[in-house]
Amino acid sequence: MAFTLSVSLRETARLYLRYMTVGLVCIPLALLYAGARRADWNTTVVAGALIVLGFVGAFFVWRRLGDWRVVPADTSIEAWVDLLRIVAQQQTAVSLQQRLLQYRPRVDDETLGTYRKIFTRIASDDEIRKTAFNRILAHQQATLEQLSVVQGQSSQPNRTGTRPETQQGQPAWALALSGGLA
Amino acid sequence: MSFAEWLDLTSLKLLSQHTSAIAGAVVSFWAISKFVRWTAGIGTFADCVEYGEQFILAVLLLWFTYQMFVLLWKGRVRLQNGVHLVSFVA
Repeated sequence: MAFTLSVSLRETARLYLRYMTVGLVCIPLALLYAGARRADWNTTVVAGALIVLGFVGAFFVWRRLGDWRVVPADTSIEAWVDLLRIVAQQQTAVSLQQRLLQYRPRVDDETLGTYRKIFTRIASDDEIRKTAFNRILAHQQATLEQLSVVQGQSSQPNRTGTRPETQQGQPAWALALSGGLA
Repeated sequence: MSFAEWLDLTSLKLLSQHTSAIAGAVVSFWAISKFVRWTAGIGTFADCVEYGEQFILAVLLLWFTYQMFVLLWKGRVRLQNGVHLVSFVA
């Protein structure tokens, strides 16, 4: 309910700005109208022509400013998983927020929606998705191996009758993950 | 029978949004021109501001009327396509 009200208020504010822009566009025409009226020209004809011109300008401005309705962003978990897969695939130093800000100077529903459209198009490519998933799995595997090595080194080496492999063995889900990769 | 079965709430919402926006814009332009005329006093500039304000308000109201016709036309086409009013509520 609060979200609906917020969206409705934002749409009303956008409409207000559009109507204000239409009024601002008409200021030069208003000056012409004032000059014509002070010069005692045919007010009806001049006003009609200037109103038609104002309509044309308003039409172009209204189209230039785009849709005033708020496009609902797809915040489903699938969309964010796709987003994170692509980010993890590229493995750059750019954070997720910076990548969002790279497209538009501000992050709102429209930006997220546009960003999601772009990444949906990219993520719909099976090859890219497969590569991203394999890289995520490889990264997880390497992390687990590194972790197990560190844990093995930190265990006591002088204890007899114990093997580090059995003492600090990997969890079952990690073994299953390694088996799935192999 | 609920309200949604005989009221097009989507159209009412659009109407209220447009009405609020145009009322805000008209009041803004009127207040600005009133302030400018008050500061300018009596003279050519004040007359120009007054005439310009009349023209801008006329264009704004005509543009609002055009937007209302567009809204009505879209709602008429929407209803002619056989979509029931209840489906717009959600």
